[in-house]
Amino acid sequence: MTEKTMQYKRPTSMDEARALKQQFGDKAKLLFGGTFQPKLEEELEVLIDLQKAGLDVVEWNESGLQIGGLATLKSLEESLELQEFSEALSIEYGLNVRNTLSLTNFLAQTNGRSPVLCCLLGLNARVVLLNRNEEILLATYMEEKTQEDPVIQIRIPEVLNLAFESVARSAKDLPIVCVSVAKSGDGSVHVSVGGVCKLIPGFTLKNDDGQEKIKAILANAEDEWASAEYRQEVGAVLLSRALLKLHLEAGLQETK
Amino acid sequence: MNLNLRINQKDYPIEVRPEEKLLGVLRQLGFLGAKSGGCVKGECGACTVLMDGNPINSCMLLAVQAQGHDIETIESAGQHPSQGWKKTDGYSILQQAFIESGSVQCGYCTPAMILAAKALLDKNSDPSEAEVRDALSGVLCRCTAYVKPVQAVLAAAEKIRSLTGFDGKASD
Repeated sequence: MTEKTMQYKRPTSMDEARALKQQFGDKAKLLFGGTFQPKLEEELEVLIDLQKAGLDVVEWNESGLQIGGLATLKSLEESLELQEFSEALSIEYGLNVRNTLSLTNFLAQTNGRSPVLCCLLGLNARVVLLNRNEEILLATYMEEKTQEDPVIQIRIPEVLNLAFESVARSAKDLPIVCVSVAKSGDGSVHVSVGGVCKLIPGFTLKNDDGQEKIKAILANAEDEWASAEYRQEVGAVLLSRALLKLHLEAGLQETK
Repeated sequence: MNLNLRINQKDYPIEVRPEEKLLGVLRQLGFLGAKSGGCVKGECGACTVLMDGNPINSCMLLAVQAQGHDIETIESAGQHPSQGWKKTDGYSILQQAFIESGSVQCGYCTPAMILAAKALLDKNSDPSEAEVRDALSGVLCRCTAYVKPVQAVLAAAEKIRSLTGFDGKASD
């Protein structure tokens, strides 16, 4: 009977958690905070709850924001303090989910339709995985992600500003097309496009307005929600609007 | 698995199966608001409780994950929490505002709405309409189109301010 043999552990560090996982192997499951569907396999003997393992730490340093995978979407929103990110977040999740869903579990279940993911990709986020010591691009993780190697930290380089634009059937529907544009501390402007299940590769602007690039990357973005032609047209308009917003905001900041 | 859950400032030792969600355990313990659990996948918000003062969906957490946190259910909202929602002698300011504004129609989401609003007003007794709407954004209501609940929360906030003489936001 699983309920009689299951043990519950709350390690206070990742070293302790790793040791427990190594000790019990496949019979142990790591719990990475709140999730939509907490499911436990029948053969499990040990639950290792990471909520006290120091994975919810938020830290700003010279290279930007580092936030642990067990931090919630709400923590990320409060840490970034970017109005446009908050707007994208409010499209996708109500406050209850923002208060509960951990970044690890969000990234494990999300796909290219997500406006939040679009913003994180625009912000050029990197992630650190449980079984790797090096950081990788979030876009790379999204292409290669596996349940066995979840995200334990997100790193976002210094961001000066973020602009987000989207089109959906209604205000709180997931977008059919969305665009985020972020200006980094080094002056580069990174563009990310979402609204399509399959991940669309982003790009960096280099003395151009990005119109041709966005049409090119959306050339095959056809699914049951919209045609590629529609997304190309709308995507180009949204990019123009987002860039305008970014420049207006930059102008306002200079004025101040 | 033996747990000790702290609910409405009282400890509840309970034996649970590890895969049980907080929602199911609250139901077992007889908390009425939690009976409203609807979708059980984090979308409707009918199972809202407060965890450490913040609204969460109790269907999105395993009960074991709630150990060590303060859980608040709708039973804590009345003037006489020990008597529970139905038996209470009086209502909290928020509950009264929901009744007076006609915010309670089918009533399915009402406990969740009130808890979400309580979490907001505990931190900010002078919220804007946008802040109220955001606070209630985790709870779906198919009857009221949110107009009446938003009015209720704003009215309750005004009453709280007039009673306490406090017109600003809580300091950090």
